[in-house]
Amino acid sequence: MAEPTQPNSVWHRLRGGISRSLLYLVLLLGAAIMVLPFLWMLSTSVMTIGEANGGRLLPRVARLTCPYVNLTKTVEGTVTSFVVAPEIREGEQELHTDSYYVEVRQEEQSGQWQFRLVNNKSKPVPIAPAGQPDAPLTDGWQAINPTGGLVDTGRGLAFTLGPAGAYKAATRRTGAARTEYVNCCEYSSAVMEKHLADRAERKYTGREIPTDLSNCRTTGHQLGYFFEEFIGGNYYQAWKTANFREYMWNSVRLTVITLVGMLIISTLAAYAFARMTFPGRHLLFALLLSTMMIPETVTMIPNFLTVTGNNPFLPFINWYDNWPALTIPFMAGFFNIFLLRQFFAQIPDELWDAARIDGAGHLRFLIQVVLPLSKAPIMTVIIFGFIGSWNALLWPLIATKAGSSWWPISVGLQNFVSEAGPETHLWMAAASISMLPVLFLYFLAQKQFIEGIATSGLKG
Amino acid sequence: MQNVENAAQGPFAGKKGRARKEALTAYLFLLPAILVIFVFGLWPVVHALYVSLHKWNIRPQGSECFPYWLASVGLGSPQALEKTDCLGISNYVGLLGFENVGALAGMIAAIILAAIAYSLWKRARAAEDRNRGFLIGAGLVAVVAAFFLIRAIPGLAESGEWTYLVSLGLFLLAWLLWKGAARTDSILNLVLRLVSVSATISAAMFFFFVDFQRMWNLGDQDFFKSLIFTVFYSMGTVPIQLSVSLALAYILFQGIRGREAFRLLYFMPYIAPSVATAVVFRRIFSLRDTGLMNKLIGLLGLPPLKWLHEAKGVNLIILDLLNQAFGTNITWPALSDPLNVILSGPSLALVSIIIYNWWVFIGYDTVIYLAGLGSIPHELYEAAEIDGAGRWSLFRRITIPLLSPTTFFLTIIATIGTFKAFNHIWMMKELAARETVDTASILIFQTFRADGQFGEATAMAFILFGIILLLSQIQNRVGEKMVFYG
Repeated sequence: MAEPTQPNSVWHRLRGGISRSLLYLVLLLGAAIMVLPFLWMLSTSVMTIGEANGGRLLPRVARLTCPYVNLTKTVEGTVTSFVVAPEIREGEQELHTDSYYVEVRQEEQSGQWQFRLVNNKSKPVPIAPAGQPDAPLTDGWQAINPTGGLVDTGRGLAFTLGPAGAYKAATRRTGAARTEYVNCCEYSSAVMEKHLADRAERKYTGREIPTDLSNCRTTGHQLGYFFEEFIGGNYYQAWKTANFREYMWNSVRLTVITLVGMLIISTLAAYAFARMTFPGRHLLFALLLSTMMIPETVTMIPNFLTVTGNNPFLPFINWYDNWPALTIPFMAGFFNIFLLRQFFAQIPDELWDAARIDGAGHLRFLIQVVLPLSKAPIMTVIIFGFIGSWNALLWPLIATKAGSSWWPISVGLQNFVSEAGPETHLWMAAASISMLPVLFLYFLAQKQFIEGIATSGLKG
Repeated sequence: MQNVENAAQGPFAGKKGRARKEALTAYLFLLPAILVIFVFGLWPVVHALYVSLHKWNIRPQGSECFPYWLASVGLGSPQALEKTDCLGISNYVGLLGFENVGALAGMIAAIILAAIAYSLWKRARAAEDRNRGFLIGAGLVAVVAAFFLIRAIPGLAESGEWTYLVSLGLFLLAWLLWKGAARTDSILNLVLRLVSVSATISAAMFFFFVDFQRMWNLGDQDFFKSLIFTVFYSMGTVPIQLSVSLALAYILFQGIRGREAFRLLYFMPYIAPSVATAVVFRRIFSLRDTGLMNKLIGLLGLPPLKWLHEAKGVNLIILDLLNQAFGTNITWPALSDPLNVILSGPSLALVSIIIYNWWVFIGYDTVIYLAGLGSIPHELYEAAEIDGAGRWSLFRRITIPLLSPTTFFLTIIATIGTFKAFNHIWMMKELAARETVDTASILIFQTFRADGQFGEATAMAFILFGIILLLSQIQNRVGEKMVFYG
């Protein structure tokens, strides 16, 4: 390559332009790699199971008019699989978050429409024949009942899929049906009402089976219907039937409690370390500082013993599976105290002198002068605390029991992923739900996020 | 509070009284933090150490250590002696693969005495002539005492544990030679350094093939494996992560338009909850042919892989792929175990997790590097440019040395982070990957949670803690030498 003789020659400019666009190319490629998983998640979260597992990058544009009736696959005009609502009881056993499919076929000779229930490993599941609650369970093919409906037998759900005609109609659409909701679209409101009444009569023990079918057109909840229709049934399913509504609410509550406690505790302590003299200050500071080195794997077992009341000195603490266990240990991370102390120490002494002349004590000085001046570091503490609390998994796993009503969203997601089959589309909906609040705040306050972490990261 | 302030007399009057009052207020301010940190941050260390001395299966069945110790010196109830779960340091002995308690105790005593001897030696070099002889003498006594102490401990001499001393001695020799070489001139220097390097290599070989092999055979192989996997994980993430993000930050720093937007996007993976992003990657690394990652490598013409479901080491997979590509039939040699585990490399499942780790942390490292780049004075570049330095030499001679504090900080954070990592590994763990993704934290959690072996789990956690402390010490030492603080 010949060196340009004149600095301003065309070649020189061209070379500059090429190298510049190469740099942009690298940066754009990097940005694409960073963003692609998020986009893939969002795209997959509105797919049907077939689309998601079939490796499509984008969902089909033509969506259904009827929520939850999405036939995945048609083989010679025959519907082959539906996803059934995950909460199906088989006797007393709770089978939530597992998927079931209804296989439907049209028998060759008689032309009769038949169905059977299979689990996600394609093994037929015994159910009671429709309308005969006391009959023995069978896992064979059953005729589709012309009247249709879902019958709770007390030992399980027996269901039929309505008149064959409905399914011929359904075949013309595409997608799979979650049977619970097939009713919404395929049955008259009279059948629906009867079904709802049947279910309301029965008392359920343990976790409530979602009886809320308010999304049905027949019952006229337009908002719920809109939500399903346009935001996607997967989100609806994760939110309601996989309990993400509860997890989200728990996470919000736990995060708020943690943050409030953390702010009070760490501003007070940071203020004491920064602006007060007392015997043992350096020793105490060093002692508390040393806790930053200790990994969670060391502390988790004694902390488990403590919250379960097995600490020999604090036997009265019994917080297991309750909110104090999930919030109080996070409230006094020394990092926050350290961060705030660095900032508080820089506040000029003149301010304190002036405040003291005006008769203010330490507490008033802290609240009225120091805190308003320290918005940036407090924001950083809040951001760190928020991310840490939202993302905490190890400790909530330890401090709660299975199926706890205090599960935060991280544990809920963990449980959902480990118990559901490989239902990519639902996983992605659940993951998006748990990411949403954090990403929303990130885009809202991006500057504080990035600068707070970049600067404090360098200091800490 | 105000009453107290207004009172002319009483405990808070006068100058001393004011100081007393301030101290009291300070303690009040600190009280909640101290309570929480003591109960959930400091006390657990003591408690964990105590638990680690037991056979503690959910709760101890027999007597605990304190009653046992008290009883054995004649205090407390003698019943504690009958059935006890107090094991002493046996958990550590069993995990690390020492032959008996005495062997581990001897090792620890020898290391402490060696440290004492070394510090005496250092002081002797700095001291005046009069004291020097005395200090050297004391150091020698310590060494001899260490030797005899180790010989005297029962079980040590016949168990062959003394071989640790060989590798330790070789390392020490190599280090002394290296230090000595610095003070000599060219040829001798070269010779000394060569000898030192070969001594280091032979010490490492000796340690690995003799000492570590025995520890492996006697100790907890799952634990050793988990440590090896942790090291794989650490070595697979940190260097690549840092170099890619340095490059990205450097490019971004070149007056790129839209820098803020790039920074925003790069930072996103770090900010998003890792529990959720790990779930996304678990599906991206799906074993289906239609999984995103399999489609991507399909574009390069590679056959679909099992990613997170693959327990085989990457080196074996590469060998397989090469065999397929060239139609050869080279088989993996049959090796004995610690060597085989190490040479097969991390399993593909672990590599997938490593890739995820890059994705999460490259943005974070880039942002920190950008902050570091911003603090390099611009005049330096200008001066160097006037002297005729090219782009590469600017990068090589100015940027990299001046960024070394940032690099140092990021290395420490990232290494310690990989040793503590739990959330995303737990979320991405497929059963089919078997134990190959169980880094130390995961193994500790499982020992604690699934097996209920609290004593063993805490002992593992302490060993891991020790390793983390050692690593940060080493990095601090290296950092002192390598980092250039403007």
